[in-house]
Amino acid sequence: MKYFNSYKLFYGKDFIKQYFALSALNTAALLITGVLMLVINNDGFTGFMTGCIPLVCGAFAMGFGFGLVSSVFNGNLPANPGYRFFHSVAGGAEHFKRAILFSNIMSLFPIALYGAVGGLVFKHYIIVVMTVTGLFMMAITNITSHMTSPWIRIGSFCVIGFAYGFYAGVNGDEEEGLAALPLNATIMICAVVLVFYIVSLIVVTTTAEKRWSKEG
Amino acid sequence: MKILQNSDVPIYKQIATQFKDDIMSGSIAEGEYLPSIRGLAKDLKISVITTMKAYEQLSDEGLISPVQGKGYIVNPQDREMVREQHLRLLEQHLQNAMESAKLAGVSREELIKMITVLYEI
Amino acid sequence: MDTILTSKGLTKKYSKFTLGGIDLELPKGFATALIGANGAGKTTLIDVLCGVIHANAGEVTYFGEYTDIDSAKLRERIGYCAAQGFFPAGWKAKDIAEAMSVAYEKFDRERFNKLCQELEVDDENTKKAKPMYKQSDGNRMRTALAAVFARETDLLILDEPGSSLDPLMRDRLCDRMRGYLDDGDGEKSILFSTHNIADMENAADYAVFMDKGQIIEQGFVEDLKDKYVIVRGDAADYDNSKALMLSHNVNKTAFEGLALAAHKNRFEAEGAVCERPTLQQLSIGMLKYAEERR
Repeated sequence: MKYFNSYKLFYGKDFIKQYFALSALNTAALLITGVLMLVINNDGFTGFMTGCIPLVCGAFAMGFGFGLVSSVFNGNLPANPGYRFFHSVAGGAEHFKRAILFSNIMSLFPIALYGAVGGLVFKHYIIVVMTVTGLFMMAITNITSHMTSPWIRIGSFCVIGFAYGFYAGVNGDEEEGLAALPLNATIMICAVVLVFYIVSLIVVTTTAEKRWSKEG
Repeated sequence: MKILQNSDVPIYKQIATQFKDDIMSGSIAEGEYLPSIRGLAKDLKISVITTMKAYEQLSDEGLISPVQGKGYIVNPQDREMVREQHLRLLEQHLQNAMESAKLAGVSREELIKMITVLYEI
Repeated sequence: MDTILTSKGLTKKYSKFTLGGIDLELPKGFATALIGANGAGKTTLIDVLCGVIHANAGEVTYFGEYTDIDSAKLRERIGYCAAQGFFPAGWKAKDIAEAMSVAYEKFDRERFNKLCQELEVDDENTKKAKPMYKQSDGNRMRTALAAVFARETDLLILDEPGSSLDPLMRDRLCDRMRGYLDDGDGEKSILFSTHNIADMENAADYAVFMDKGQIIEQGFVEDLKDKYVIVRGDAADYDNSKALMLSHNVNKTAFEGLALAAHKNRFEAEGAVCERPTLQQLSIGMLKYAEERR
């Protein structure tokens, strides 16, 4: 389909293999962690894993292919190899926008997958935590993708990481803290993040179009 | 077709001359098509405009004519007129030869012997 | 003259350089050489003609009908290849094959692989193929040329195709270019740029000379060779000839330069000799003339 083709224009061949391979790898890692957690009955370990796994998986999820489209964004200078090929193709700006949207879709799949597996392995609310974190990180990536400096993105992730860890730490017992959240609050958080994500999609496609026509 | 790249004679003239000789001598018959300008350029490894200019010259001299969509066709040549031209040239050359013979003191018999020897070569 | 491309007043402004206005006519069914020094504007002109960058003013008509370079149908008919770094650095031949198939309808993958093999570079199926950044300039150009020749096109626009190739490969490229024109039988055309015409002289039918963003002369090569002469003479006679010469090169032994063939008799009367120029000599003379006038 068109979106897949546009993605292939920027990425080339063989990414499907890598995509499924990395998704499988992460899922396996999650399962192993789950098993380890059952076996190692250590609060610290449990807390640590529950804290960092969503973050790490979210990061892997959106790293997918998106990193490449991001490099096309930044490579969008006449001096960089590839620029002239992409700009000599008809409808280059359209292809670029479709590729970005497609890589977002591709990243959502692993996020959902980890959410499901995480829920099975850890606790049910992990699904929400992981998908929300994943979406949030995707949104940040979308918004910051055109920025040459990666510090803003890394900075935002660190802030999320700290906030999460802080929240978990403050609440001591992980399970009670998050499981105790009222349903309304959970739904609200999900809705807010979803809207934020959709906004980020609009921002990234508009920036993409502008950047493409700027012609260094 | 033999082309000298570094000759004083422009390549298009060399091509035109060689085709002219072939046409005049009958090696290329009337009604035959010459190679396409691009095909010839490819085979001789020269630019298309060079072969085109050669063909234009031949066409101006009436030896060939362009045919829409098919290339250049060899025109019927007036053999008699060409032969007469060559005969006239031959007479001129012989006149010059006889003058030189007289100056060198070569007799008629010796001259005929020399011509016979040269003819054999 | 049947033209494949005409431009009027084509202009592109940068802070330190302006291209134009370019009034260009490219003949159909022939190979045109765009000749000029580095910085003359050849790449900028080609980029504008291929839609890589957009002009500030002026218009271009392609194939007698298209005026919008952003039309997909038009870009499908133009086979463009950049001077260097055409494809992303991390790509291998198989990525190029994949992307080209998406980008163009008439890209023949089999032909691409066959051309890669003939040009002795990695093809799609090569085991342990190297990414572009690990290849030499020459191999990168060969791969890019294989990609563009594997497409079905009506106008090839090649930016400095010969510059990173060795002499044998350049000769083979000229053969392929002549083959392309032959296949087209007058309907296909080529535009290629170079800053060193010597190696590709026998593939150029029409020449366009550029200096500082402007066209300084254009015409069919054979006509240009009739229009100009190379004048040579003893240093002592230089003063008598120099006023009529376009470019000048003089030392204590001899002088030489480019001049209009119309003045041939005058030069010979002054004891100089005149010679029909090669395209290389013509280029040197033209560029020197432009430089001397700056």
